Amino acid sequence: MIELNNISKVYRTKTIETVALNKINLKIDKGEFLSIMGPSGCGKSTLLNIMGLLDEPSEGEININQNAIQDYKSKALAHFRNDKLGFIFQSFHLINDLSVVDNVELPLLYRKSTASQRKKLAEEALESVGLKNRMRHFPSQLSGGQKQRVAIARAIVGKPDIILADEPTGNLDSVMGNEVMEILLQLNKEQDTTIVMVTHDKNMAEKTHRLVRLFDGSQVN
Amino acid sequence: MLINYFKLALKVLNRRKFFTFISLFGISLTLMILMIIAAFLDNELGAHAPVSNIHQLAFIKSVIKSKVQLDTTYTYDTTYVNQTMVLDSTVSTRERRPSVSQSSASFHLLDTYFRDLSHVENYTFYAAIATFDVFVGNKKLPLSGIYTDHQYWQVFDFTFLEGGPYLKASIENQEQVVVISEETRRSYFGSDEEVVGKNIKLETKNYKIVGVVKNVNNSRSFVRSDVYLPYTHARSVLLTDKDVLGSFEGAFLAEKKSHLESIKSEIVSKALRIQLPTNDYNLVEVEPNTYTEGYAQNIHYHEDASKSEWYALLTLGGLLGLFILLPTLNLINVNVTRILERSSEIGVRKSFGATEGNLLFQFVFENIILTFLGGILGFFLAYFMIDLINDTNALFEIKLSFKTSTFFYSFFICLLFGIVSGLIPAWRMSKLNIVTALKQS
Repeated sequence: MIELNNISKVYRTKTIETVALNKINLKIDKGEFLSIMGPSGCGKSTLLNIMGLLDEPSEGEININQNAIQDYKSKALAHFRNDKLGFIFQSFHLINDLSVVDNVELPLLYRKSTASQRKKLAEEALESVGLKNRMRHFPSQLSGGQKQRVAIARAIVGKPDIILADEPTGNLDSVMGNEVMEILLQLNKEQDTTIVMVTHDKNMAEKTHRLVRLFDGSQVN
Repeated sequence: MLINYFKLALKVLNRRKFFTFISLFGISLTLMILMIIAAFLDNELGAHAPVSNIHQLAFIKSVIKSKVQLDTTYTYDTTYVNQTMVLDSTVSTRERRPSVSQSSASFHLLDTYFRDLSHVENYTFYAAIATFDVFVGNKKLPLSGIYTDHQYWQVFDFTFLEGGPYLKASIENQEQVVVISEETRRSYFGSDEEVVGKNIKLETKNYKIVGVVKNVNNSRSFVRSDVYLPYTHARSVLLTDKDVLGSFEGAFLAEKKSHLESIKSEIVSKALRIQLPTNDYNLVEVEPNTYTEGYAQNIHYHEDASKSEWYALLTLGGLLGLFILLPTLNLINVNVTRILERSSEIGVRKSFGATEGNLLFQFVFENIILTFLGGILGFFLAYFMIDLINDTNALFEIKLSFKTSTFFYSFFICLLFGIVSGLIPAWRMSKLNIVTALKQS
């Protein structure tokens, strides 16, 4: 499903060269729930961003569903992200000026769909995270856990093949974190969605199928 | 999608009230001034009574008579051909104009040469030269006057508040009749009561008033006057002088607008064939213009009137461009700040599949909504200002009015303003790197 071959990411300034990722090779199968762990600054988020096509590697190849992504132009990448990928961020990144349902509808705005179709799909996604009754609320009226559940609804509304979650429980207390984790596990189990999750939390990582550890930009066993 | 953008635009505007106020203030003030300029230009150049057919008229306002001489110069030089010195000469001929005079046309010139032009539906000769000092009680009242023929009232569609124009017979019989303006009726008689049949004393003569016309609210000197008199009352020398220069002008109403060029060409070629009786001058040139060409020549003179029109348009466009540049730059700046605050949103939208085009469209659309709100405010401000300008007589005789065309110009300006000031920040922001955008929030 996702194949990373020799992925490196180097940040260069005039005086310093920082290696964020060093020749990462990784293969993630369809339906797999993979977690990435490692200390702060080890390149976990950079790796996730590269997998999510939000950032470009300095070297290496990415194949998703046998598509060589490095050949894609910016517009094709946008369409690919819209169609195949869903994102969950540590700090939720909900648009505060939009209602919950409008936030969830967002990915559908960039594909062919009518307003009623969008609304129906958004309602379904919110129902699956148990927030249908909060549709008309605004993000500022929700708790952290609720915000992250809205973000999950937004990530799954377009029925993507892959969900990339960057520390989804990082800003939540353990109860809320567990709730969010349960939703992700259920999603993976019931809908066979491939999930890649960056986390600091060993307990969370242990619930996933496989754990990949990074240290100073390199993969460690 | 548009509803979604619209809702978001209103939310954003409402959230940052100070930014919104600054933006709206700048936009509405700029648009107000542009709308007033549009109203002014429409008033100056548009088709309004009594010159509703302005785009079908050609004018003779200026005549040039010159003495043209051909100066021949011989240049001698020597050169060697086959080792023999030979004399070589060059002859060059140059046109010289030792004397040139320019003025309005004489009645004689118009009367003799320009009464039977092709494709002319009607024409009139007039001289806007009269000034009279009349006395109302002990108070001096200066009045301007235009000497006209009877066709003047057919070519120009004045609105008569009472009575009517003087007829051909009255002119031929040298009847002492006059048409006065509404303003003159008020200032001379002190009221708006009917005055047809009464007399008005201009200098030493009494003229019988046959009609009162509605005031002309613009700066068109060939129709704006206090009194209108038959041309036969002009000083006799103006009518009998055989010179081509004088004080009259001619207006020619084309059968169709498309005939204007051929009418102008005919005037030019007829003028060039005129034989002058004296040797002092030997060439007559007439420069017929449409109204806009003449207007443009006042702004930027060029021998070729159509070029004048272009230069004037460029000058005007350039000035308007400069005028609009400052608020546009300001709005661009405000927009960059406003959009930068939304870098998280840009990052999220891009993550979930928004293309640069999608974002560009969204931010320009939001900006157009903002400029339209400013436009509506500017529209009301302009309406109020135009009323104020007219009430306080700030532009003297010119009375501005708000027309449908002005509204459409304003609408177009709003759209342009919205697109221009929104496009640059939106373009910059749409190029923002996703990871950077997400981190910036």
